[in-house]
Amino acid sequence: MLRIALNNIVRRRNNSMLMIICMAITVGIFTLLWSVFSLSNSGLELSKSRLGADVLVYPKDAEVDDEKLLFSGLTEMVFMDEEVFPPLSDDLKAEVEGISSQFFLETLPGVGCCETDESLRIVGVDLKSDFILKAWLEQEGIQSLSDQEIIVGSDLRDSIGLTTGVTTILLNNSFTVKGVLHKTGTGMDRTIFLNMDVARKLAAQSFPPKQFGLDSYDSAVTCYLLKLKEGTDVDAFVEGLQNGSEGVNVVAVRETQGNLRAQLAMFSQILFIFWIAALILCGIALVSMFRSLIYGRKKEIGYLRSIGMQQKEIFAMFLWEIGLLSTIGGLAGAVAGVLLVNPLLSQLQELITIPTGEWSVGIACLRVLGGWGLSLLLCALITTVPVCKLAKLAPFEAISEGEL
Amino acid sequence: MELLKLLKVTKTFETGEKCTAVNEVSLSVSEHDFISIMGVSGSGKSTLLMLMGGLLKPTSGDISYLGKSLFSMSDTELTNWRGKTVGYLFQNVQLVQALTLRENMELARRYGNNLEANVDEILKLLDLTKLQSRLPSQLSGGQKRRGMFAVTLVRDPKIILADEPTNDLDDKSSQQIIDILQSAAQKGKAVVLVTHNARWAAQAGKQYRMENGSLNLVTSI
Repeated sequence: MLRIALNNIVRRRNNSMLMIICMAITVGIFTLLWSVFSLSNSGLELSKSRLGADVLVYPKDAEVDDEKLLFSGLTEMVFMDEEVFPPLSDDLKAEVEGISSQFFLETLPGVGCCETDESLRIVGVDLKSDFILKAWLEQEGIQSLSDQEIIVGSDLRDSIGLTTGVTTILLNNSFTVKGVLHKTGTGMDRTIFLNMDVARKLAAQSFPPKQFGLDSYDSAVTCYLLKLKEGTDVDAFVEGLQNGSEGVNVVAVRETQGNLRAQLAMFSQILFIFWIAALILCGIALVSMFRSLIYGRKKEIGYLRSIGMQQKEIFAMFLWEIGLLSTIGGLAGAVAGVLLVNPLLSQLQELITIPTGEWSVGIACLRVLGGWGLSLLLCALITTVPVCKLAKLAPFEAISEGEL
Repeated sequence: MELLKLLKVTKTFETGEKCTAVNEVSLSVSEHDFISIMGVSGSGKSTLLMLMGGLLKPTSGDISYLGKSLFSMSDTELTNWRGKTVGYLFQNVQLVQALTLRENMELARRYGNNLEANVDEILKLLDLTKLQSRLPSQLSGGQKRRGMFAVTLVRDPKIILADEPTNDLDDKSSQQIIDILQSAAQKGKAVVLVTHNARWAAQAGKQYRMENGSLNLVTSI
């Protein structure tokens, strides 16, 4: 049966190709949208569990917003003086578990780092007060960073090969990668971390502080991250802190995540509508192609029954043929869909902020399997009933098609 | 030995108005029989052949093979019976379009009586050796018909039901087919030939004429 099915596919090449292409488009779109959707959702979930901060404080005159600061890995340099951040009242202080400042700067595209044209975000952290990297550092047994050591986000390992032990040049200074962070689904994944003082020195070497309205970078920071004690009313804290300071924006990370989630939900709806439209169009084409494949061979079925082929064998023959066509089309579409995930995400990230979760060969394989599963499901939905009907057709009816 | 027996077989189609294609036909088909059935178009010849091949169920009457009613068999049994017992040469050539002639023969052989049947010998007999790798769509009308005949012979059936097997063939090829049918009957097979060509019909041992669904014996040698 498999041999007949294969021959049918190979020797009816044009029909087979049409069906394969149609199935590939349907499954490809599905796999692509499914992957992008789940990647952004898992990014949000990861950020919830791994970001660790409850409140973000950043300069009011910054051109970037909180979403971009937290999730995009944007390389824009923006600073405020440590003194701009208002001293906390005793009430607010009592609710804070930790405060950590960060200093952002960027590599220069094409010359800064790692033979990539991309401009990368460098973040200086104060490891004494830091609670963002703390858990990971403890897990890895890293107590401190020397001035020549950096920690990198997981995307940088995957995209430009910054793995542990690798030496790289950042803004004309040599650094060794001390470790690679776990995926967080935030801008951290595309960030290089080093000591705050080293970051300030690097900035001073490459970017005159005057262009940012500063005399020096000695007391400059880009943002503060605050971790609040369990049970603290975050919204009330944010309101209280914001009221006490005019030079900064104070936002609840949870609120940023919520906004992002709402934005992603809307975006997902658009993707879903797009997929449904594609599914309907390709589905109609597939139905008509599969039906013509089946009903166009009515006489052949009658002939096969006349030479002694059983109903179940005819059923199996069609199942093999349609299953193979669906598998080829489904797998081709799913692989194409998976390969297009990163290009599509890059395009979309230029339009909106999209956090991204873990994307590995294993996950890509799962998505391909999912796409293949969809192709088989579609083929089963479309063809089972007509194939069953036809296999059960009396040989005379199949042969004569009512001609007698 | 009597192989197939038709007893008052009637087949009525009800598509809009009632049409009796075969009317109370009784016929006995034995080993070595070479039977021809002549008749004008629409006289019910092909329907009778379909009934004899177990491809169509009669409205009334019975058809039995070696004493067992065909239509008391399950679908699986009847299909097996068809594969091993009946070689059906359809009026319109029927082959699997995606298989070459040789592959069609090999497929048919799996369901026939003789799994060891020599494909090459049959191809040679029908002068098809050079065409064995062609798909049905690459064969001419006459070649297809001979191909269909090869597919029937490879199954080594006990009964050959041939519905206008000489259509699309020149006289020489037609005579070759008739000779092969005659030879099959001499070797113990039962052959039923439906034709509207009196010349081919005359070469059969028993000649019947079909008129308005009724079968009448014309000559028996």
